[in-house]
Amino acid sequence: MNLESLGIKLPLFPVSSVGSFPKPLSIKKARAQFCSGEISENELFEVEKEATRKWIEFQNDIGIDVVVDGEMYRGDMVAYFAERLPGFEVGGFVRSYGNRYYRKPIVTGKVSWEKPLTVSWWEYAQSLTKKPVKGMLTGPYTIMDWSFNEYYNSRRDTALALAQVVRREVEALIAAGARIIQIDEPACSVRTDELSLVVEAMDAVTRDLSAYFLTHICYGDFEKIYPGMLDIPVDNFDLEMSNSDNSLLTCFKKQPFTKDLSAGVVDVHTHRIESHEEVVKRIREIAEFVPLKQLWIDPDCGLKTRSVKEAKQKLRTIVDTVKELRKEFH
Amino acid sequence: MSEKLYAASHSHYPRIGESDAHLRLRRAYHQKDKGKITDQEFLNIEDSYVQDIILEQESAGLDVVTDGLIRWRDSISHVLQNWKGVHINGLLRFFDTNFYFRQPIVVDDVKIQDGWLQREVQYLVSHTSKRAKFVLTGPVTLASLSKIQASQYKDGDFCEEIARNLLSRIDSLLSLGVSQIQIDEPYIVKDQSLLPVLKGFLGDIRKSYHDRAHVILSVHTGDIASVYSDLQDMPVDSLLLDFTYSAKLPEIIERDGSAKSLGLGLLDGRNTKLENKEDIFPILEKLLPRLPSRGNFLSTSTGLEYLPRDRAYNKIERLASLVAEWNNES
Repeated sequence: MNLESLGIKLPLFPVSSVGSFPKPLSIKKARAQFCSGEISENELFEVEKEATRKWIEFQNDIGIDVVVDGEMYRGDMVAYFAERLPGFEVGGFVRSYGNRYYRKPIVTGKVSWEKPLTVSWWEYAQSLTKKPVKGMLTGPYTIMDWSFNEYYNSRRDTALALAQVVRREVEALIAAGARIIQIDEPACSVRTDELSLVVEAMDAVTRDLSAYFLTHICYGDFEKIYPGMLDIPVDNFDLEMSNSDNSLLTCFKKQPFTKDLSAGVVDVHTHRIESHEEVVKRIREIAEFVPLKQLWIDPDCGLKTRSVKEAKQKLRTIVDTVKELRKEFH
Repeated sequence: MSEKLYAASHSHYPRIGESDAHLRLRRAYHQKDKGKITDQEFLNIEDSYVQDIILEQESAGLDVVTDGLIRWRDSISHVLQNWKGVHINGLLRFFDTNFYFRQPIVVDDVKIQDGWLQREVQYLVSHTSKRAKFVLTGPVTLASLSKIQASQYKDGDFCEEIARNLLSRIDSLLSLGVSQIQIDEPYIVKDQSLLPVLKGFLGDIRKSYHDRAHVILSVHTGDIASVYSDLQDMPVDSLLLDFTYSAKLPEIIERDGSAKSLGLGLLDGRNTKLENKEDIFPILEKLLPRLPSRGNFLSTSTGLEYLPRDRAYNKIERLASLVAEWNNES
């Protein structure tokens, strides 16, 4: 989908973010208080709204072109949806690494969509900025892969049932006015034999809908899914490039990248703030393989694992670098 | 009539649950990190937790138990930590799971340390009345998931070096009285070029220790169908196979048979859904006549750390009850 046909005009190298930002201490404290019954759900909601407002304000101030709400109200990218959808149960703790655990959802019945899950947050975020705000969803393949399944007969059946649920949420976002919608599929790069299922499920989500779609994929075996991944029916691939030192470009060299690319140019798993020169170098390298008009710039992944200060510094570095490059390339 | 099956733990087991007792190890890690408990106090808690896990497997009715690999940070870095010439670095995804291991970086000539794994194996053997299985990640997987920066190691050299080092310590571990040694080699599904090294390694183990311990090669987390015939050439007593990735595997075994006794990983170690008699017995009826009459066992497809603790217990309880019912009926 052409952005201009949707009424959206963006500058060269549009700057955006993958989705999540670090939560301030006020939210961590409020969540603890909510869990112990000290504050109400509504009081927690107000704290999350205030944190969202501050992140939108920051993005406005530094000149981000496509804004995100920062996901102050979400914990885990799958659990947030699973906890709100019929057909899921909240599972017990499962180890992620070291001494870190998360609650992995369980599909125990037919999944369905009853009401919007993210629309009011999108509307709130959009009311605070004149820039377009991305609708942010987790894709059906990733929700399937990161959940247990006790109901459907196969992984395919589960993913396709979830695709119908995600589609309903996309339709609700579009009805509310969202024109740019990101559907994250980070799981799709690890089980390469199921790429066709990712394509099929994403098609079921996006087919014939009037929006500009992105998908975010990270930390997987890209060499094995490229160029097949280009069949995923979205307009823009948001990929972590800097974590692997732009090694993905070797794939693009063999087979041109044919869609728009949101290129991650800062690493979200390091405290170090990249220098202006590093980011310039990464963007220049990428620009050799992707037409300039197809290139967006953002961090590798969600910034929620960084401190607030680090996340802001990384975003500022991106924006300042891009502003300078725009002068050169115009 | 075929020899009876036995019920065997696969390898790892969850180290966290919902109750205070099940959370005490996680809390101990936090306390240790903050310096609130001594190393000895931590070890005492860890020991008692391992004892609980062994008892849990025994009470579920398993014939062969492990220590749940409770002390292991992950199956890669735990084996190679403290080796001379190896640093433990950042996180990488473990195959297509949502679990992350710390990657070893090989910077110099490697050498295994004295006393390697001795205490944990001793603890296992002295705390169970059942057959104790010692699980060890194999040289192919260890080498392939490490990053080799030391220029002296080319191609398969590092794998051979790991194999030599492991062999130098296995004697002292098996002398402690373990009944079974299981070598886990999930990577062999992805890359068969190191099969000769693996074959040599397993051959040395079996030649030296076949009178002391039953040697098992475990392959999981990938489609085994393509390597099944190669696995038949491996010098081991049994093969433990993950059946969850390949619909063809039962057909291949039914067609070609097996010269080795098999560990049938028919219960999905990565999904909470409990298998029942109708799922398992038809496969046993087809496969067991094609296997040696002795030494076959039922197991889960992988270790159970991917499940919540209560679901893992349900799984091993079901595993034991299915074996008991099968043995009664046959």
